[in-house]
Amino acid sequence: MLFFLFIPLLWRCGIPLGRFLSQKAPKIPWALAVSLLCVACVEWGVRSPLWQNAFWLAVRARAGQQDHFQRELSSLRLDALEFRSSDAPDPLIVIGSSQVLHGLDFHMLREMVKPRPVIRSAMFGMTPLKALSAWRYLRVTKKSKVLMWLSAFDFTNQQSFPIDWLRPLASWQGTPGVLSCYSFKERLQHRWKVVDLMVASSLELWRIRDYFHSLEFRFWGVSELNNVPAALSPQQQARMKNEMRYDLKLMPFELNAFQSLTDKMRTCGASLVVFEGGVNPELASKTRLQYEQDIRTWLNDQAVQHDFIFVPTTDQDLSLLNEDWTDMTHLNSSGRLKNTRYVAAYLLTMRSMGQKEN
Amino acid sequence: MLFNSMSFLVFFLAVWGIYLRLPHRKQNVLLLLASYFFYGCWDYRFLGLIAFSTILDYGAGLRIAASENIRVRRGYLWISVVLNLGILGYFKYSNFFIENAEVLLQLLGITPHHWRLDIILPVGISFYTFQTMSYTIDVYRRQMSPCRSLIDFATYVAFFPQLVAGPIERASRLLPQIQHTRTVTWAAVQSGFWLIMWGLFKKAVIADNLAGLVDQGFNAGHYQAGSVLMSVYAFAFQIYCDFSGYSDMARGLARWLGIELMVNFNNPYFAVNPSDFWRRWHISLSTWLRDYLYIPLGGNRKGPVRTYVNLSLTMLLGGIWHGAAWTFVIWGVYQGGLLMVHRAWSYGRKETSTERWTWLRRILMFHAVCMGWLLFRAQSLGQVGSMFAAFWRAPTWDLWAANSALAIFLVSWPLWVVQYLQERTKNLDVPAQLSLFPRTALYATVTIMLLVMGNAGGKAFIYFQF
Repeated sequence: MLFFLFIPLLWRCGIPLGRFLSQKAPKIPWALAVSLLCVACVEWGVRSPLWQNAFWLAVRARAGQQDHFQRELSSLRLDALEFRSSDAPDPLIVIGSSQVLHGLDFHMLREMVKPRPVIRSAMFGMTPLKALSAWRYLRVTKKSKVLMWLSAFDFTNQQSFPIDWLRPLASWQGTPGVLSCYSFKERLQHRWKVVDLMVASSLELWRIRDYFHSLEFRFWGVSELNNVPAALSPQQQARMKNEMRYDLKLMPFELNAFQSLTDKMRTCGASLVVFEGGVNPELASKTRLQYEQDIRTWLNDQAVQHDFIFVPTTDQDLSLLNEDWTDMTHLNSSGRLKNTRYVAAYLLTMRSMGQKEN
Repeated sequence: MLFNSMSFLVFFLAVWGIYLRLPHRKQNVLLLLASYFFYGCWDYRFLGLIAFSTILDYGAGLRIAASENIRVRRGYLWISVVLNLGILGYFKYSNFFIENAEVLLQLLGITPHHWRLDIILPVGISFYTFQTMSYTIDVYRRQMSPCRSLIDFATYVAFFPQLVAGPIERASRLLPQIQHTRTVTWAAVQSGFWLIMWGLFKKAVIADNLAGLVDQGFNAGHYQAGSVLMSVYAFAFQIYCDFSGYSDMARGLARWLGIELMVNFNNPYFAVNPSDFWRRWHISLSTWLRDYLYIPLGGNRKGPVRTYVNLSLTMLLGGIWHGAAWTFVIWGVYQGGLLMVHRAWSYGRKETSTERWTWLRRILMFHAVCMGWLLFRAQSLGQVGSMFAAFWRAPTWDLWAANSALAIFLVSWPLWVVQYLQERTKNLDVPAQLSLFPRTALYATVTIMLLVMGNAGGKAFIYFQF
């Protein structure tokens, strides 16, 4: 695109303007056709690993304090580039939401399950539907073992059609699945988001647009003024999120997405282990417990039908206390340590059992 | 329904598809229905208001034309003007006057009861009110004959491409185009397409991107010179691209319907003095104010003092037209002051024509305009004071200012290139007349920037609130 910056320079250098003015009638179809070709060339250029690497590194470097998603997204996209040509053998792919990011010490886990590589593909707010959308970047292969964390509230989406989340990870591997999870009414209601998602699945220029803005406006670094304070206080946001998590209106779509996701994994030969994510015991209420029990039963049924391992909180030997939580849903360092040890031990037991079976 | 939304795209293509297959009279009916639907999408409750204005001025025009008695003619004109301005005043300025009356009473030691009228400002009311008034005044002046068809007149008032944010079309220009058979040529579709794309680029890439910077800069609380300067520059480009982008899209859409709307902006930041600026900025409003206010007040025909008074009155009303706030009033006074100073300065002087001086004058004029934008955008006079004070209290250049400077350049450089070309060739249609290579480069740049940088959220246009 920098090429176009030379145009004013050429004019300024004294090239007579009259030469550029055509004497004949404007031939816009030609100009349109050639300009579309230029757009296609730029699209091809931005898909190249060289550009992608530089771009996502620059995006990650410009993430502000609150831009967790931006940071995770650029890491995911960079990891996807790194693993593209030399897929690690037998990788352990960890997916899930911020519960995993807060709840697992990935460095420690890598050390404990050596030599098996651990790929961190979890993202803030990653529900089954979003994981399905990001399928292309999860790099699930035949020999992968996928570890997934799911809490009951992951099935209640934060918002319907979260396009800002879906857009940068959209692809034709994931989008048809995502669209099929929603009802016709929902798709109709969010028709422009459907169009947006389809354009994003086709064009990298469209996928990167939100993060191009971050480069555009924070080129020299993140200043205080760029960190726009959230309209709601953290307490208000937390309350709002918790309230929304009880909103079951969007749950059927997430359940559909989970089924599609397990189907996809089974089709490509990967094995799946689903851990149920816990919450701070303080959050326990009658409604919540009932609702968690319903989801647990459903996941148990799914595990039998779709042949994956489900580890409910009741079977997890974790004994987490109130002191192990940062807030209502995220573990702190002591909780993280307990959880990581437990997961590593679980995986090692599975491995030794597998070896014995062999 | 915004021009920069998918809903509008579907609406327009549907209307256009039907429009091309209809005979002339039915085309007008379709345009009227589409315009009322378009306006109803904002708020259907105000359809009655626009219909009332239409019938009022349609009737007034017929009555004025039918009478030879000057008192009767003047009577109908007054009815039209008073009712039109009354509606505008009620919806736009009631609360402003109440607030100020309250302050005045408090100064006199009276504690008034705190109350406000619960009024929603109808979108585009200032635009179509001025448009209908110009029709009645033109008929009164015998500068045009009245429109006999209510459908044609209603279509003129409510013509959807320019209904909510102008240009304020004169009846003498637009009505004949509505009354006569129109042909939609391929050349008009091509040039219209460019105007739509260019307008969309100005709106979605430049204005909407800079809107965030402007909000951050103006709401910062503690100001530094560098960030104030960048905020004001950003606002200068935001407001220009927002408004002229709308006008370009309106012209492009109208061309697809076989109608030519007036040019509303002619590279205003290339102006070399205040008079030149007002010949280039919001041309439809400035010419309206000139023809229906400045000249009737006496213009420059009654000596220098009256000229200055007329200038300041006209610009004051121009400021008030923009909104009910003291910052708009002061902006109007400031613009009037600039015009007066320029008139006094240029009295008896020859225009300098060397290129170097022209550029210097352009830069100076741009900064004078930016000063005005600071008044225009600020939420209070206190904020204006704090922002000005930053230039000697904190004359520093911070990271935000550096980021903003680059961002302003990155989003707006194609605008500079195109406007430089337009200015140099004195031809606003020059982008469509370039030969293949530069035209292709321009189209590709605009498309890529729309894809990557364009704000897809479909933000409302600033001038809708006026």
